[in-house]
Amino acid sequence: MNDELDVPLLVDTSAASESDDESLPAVPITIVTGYLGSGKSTLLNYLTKENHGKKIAIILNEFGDSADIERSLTVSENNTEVQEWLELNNGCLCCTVKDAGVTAIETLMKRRGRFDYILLETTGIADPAPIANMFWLDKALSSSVELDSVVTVVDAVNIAKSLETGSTAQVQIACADIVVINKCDLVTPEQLQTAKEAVSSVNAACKILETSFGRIDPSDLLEVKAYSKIDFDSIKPVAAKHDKDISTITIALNIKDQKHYELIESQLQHLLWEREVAGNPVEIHRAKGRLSFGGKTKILQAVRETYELTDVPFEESDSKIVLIGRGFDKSSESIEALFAPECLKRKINHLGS
Amino acid sequence: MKCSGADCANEAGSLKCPVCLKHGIESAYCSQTCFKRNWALHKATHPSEDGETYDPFPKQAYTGEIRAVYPLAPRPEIKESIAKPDYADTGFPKSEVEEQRSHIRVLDADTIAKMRAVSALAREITDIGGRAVKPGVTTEEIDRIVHAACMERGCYPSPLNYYNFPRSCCTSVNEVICHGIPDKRPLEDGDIINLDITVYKDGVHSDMNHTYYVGDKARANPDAIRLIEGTRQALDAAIALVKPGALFRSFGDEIEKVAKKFGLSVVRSYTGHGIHELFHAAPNIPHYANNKAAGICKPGMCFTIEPMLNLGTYRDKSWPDNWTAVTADGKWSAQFEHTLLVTEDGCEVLTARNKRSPGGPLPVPKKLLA
Repeated sequence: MNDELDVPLLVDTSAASESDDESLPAVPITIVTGYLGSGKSTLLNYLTKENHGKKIAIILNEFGDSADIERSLTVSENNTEVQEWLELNNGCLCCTVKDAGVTAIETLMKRRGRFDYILLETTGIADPAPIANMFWLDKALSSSVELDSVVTVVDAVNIAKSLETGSTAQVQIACADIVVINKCDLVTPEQLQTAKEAVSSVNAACKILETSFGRIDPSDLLEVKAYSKIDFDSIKPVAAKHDKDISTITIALNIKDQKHYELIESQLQHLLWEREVAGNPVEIHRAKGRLSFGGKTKILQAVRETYELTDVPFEESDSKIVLIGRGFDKSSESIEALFAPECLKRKINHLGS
Repeated sequence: MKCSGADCANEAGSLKCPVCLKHGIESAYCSQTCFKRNWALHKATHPSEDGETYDPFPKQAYTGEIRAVYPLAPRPEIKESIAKPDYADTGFPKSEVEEQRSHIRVLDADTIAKMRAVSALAREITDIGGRAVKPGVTTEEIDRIVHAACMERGCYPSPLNYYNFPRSCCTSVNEVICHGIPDKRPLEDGDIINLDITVYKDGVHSDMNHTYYVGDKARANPDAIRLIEGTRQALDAAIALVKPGALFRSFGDEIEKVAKKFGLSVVRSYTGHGIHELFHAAPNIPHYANNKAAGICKPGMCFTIEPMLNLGTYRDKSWPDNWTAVTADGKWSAQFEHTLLVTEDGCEVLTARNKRSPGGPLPVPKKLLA
C-alpha cells in the first residue's frame, strides 16, 4: 500500500528549458460556445486554416469538471495538428487562485513553447460564464493567458426556436461578446432578420456576425479585447416578455463625485451578489458599463458575481450601465430606482445614522 | 535505450529514476505509468536504505537551500473510534467538489458551537506542535507529535490523504511558502518553520497556522523578525476589518499595505477559504491587492485568512511532489492563519492564542521598516 505512495517522480534528463517569458504579452484566449450542429467545429477549423503561420491551440474538452483528470488539446500549426495532454496537478483546488486547467495550459506552454492564440471550445450545452470567470484572471497573477472574449455560434435555421424561455441557448447568448449566426445560406432574409432580433432580444450589447460554412474573417473574431474595451453606444434593448427570459436593460447615470460613485458601486455589489431587488429575484449574467465623473473614467465589466472597475483615460461621455440578465420584467424599474439619486441619498442618510 | 520496465517493449525517453540517478545506476523509463507499475521490482534494485536518507528530486527542483529528505515515514494509523472526512480513504473530497462553487454557507447556531469547540482543539494541538519546535528535531517528529495529539483528542488530522497528502500536518521551513511535507530533515538553529494544522471532529474542520523562530539564532536575525512580525501584523490588520458588510476583496488591499511597510511581497497563488463541514469552500479570499473576489461578510460565515509574505519575489514554484510550494528566488517566506467567525458586530477569532501559546511576537526595531 505504502509502496504506491513512495514511487518517486521520474526525472526528465533532457535539457530542461523552462522559459518564463514574463515580458511577453499574455496569449489571448477566446471561449467558443454553441449548440451541437451550430457549426462551431467548422468555424474553428476555418479559423485555424485561415491563420497561416500562427500557432493556434484548440482546447476541446470542457473545463470545470474536476473529476475529469486527463484533458487533451489540439494544437494546430501550419495546417498540421498535434494532440497534447494537459498535466493536471492533483493538488487541492480550493485554496489556489487558478483553476487546474489554467495552470495546465501555462505549464504546457512553458514546456513546448507559446501559442499565438488559444480557442477554447466548450462541449455540449455548457454555460460559458464559469469558464469565462476561470480565465478572467486578476492582473496580479501575471498569467501567460488572457481572456479575450466569449463567442457563441448559432444556427440561423434553428436559433429563434431554440431561444425559448429558460433555455441554455439564452444563457450562452447572454454571456457572448460576439454572436456568429451561421448557415445564413439556408434561410430567407426575413428569417435571418427574425434570428437577429431573437439574439438581440436576449443580449442587445453583443456584436452579431452573419456567415455561412463558418467562414469568418479572423480579424472580426480574434483579439477583440472584449474585457478591456467597451462598445455599447448603439444598444437598443428589447423588453423581456417573460420573467424567465434573459434580456438587456441600460441604466443612465449622472455621477457627481467620488462619494456618489462609491454608492453606485455598492448598489452594483448588491445587485450582483444578493441576486434580488425589492424582493424580486434578479440574475445578472453579464454587465458592462462606463462611469465618468470628476475627470475620471472607469470601465465596468462583470460576469455573474465577478466584477471589475478599471481606470481608463478620461472620456467626456455619458455614464451608463448595461445589464444582461433574468428577472427584468418585474424589476427593471426597481433596478433603475436602485441607482436613482433619491435612493442613493437615502443610503447616505442610512450610513450616516 | 529500451525502457527498464520488465513488461515493456517501448523505447525509453529521457525519463530517469531519481534514486538511480543519485547512485549512478543506468535505468530509464518510457513513462511515469510504466515506472509506477514496475515500482515494486525496481525499488529492490536500489542500494539498501537502512536508516539512510536520500534526496528524491533533481537539483533543478530546488530554489533555495532546503532539500527534501526521504524516505517518508509510513502513513500513520487513525484510531477506529475517530470519524473521518469523506476523502480519508479515497483521497478525493467528493463533497467539496460537489458543492456549488460560489455558494457561501451561513452556519446555524449548532454548527457554530461545533466550530468553536473544534477550533479550541486546533489551537491546543498547534501549541503542542509549536512547543516541539527546536533545533535538531525533524519535521517528521513534529508531525508524529501532532498526529498523536489529534488521536488523543478524537480529531482526524484533516490534511492526511486530502488529495493524497501523505502526512497529518504541513511543515514549511524557510523558503517553503506552504504545504511542506514533514520529512527527515532536522530543524537547524536559525531556521523558521510554519506549522499548518487542520483538524476535523463532530463533522467540522478548523484550520490555523503559525510561524515559529527556531532557536536563538533565528530570533536574532533581523530579516526573520521583519518577515515573521510583518506577516503576523498583516493577518491582524486584515482580521480587524472583518465584520458584517466587509468586502472579501478588501482584505488583500490591507495585507498588501502592511507588507509594503515591512518591505515584503505577498504570495498570490494561495488563498484563504471558507471552512465548516468542508475543509475548503467558498469564499476564496486572495491576499493580494486589487482582486475581484465576490461577496461580503455576513454573520455566521466562517472562513480563514492566511497571508503568506516573502522577503523577495512573490512568485512561487512547486517541488515535484506537487505539494511543496517554494519561493521562486529561494528567499524566505512566512505565514499566519486563523479560522474566523463573522459575528453580529465584528468577528470572533476561533483559533485565537491564549496565555500559554508558544510563539508570541518579538519587538520590531524601527529601522527594519520601510
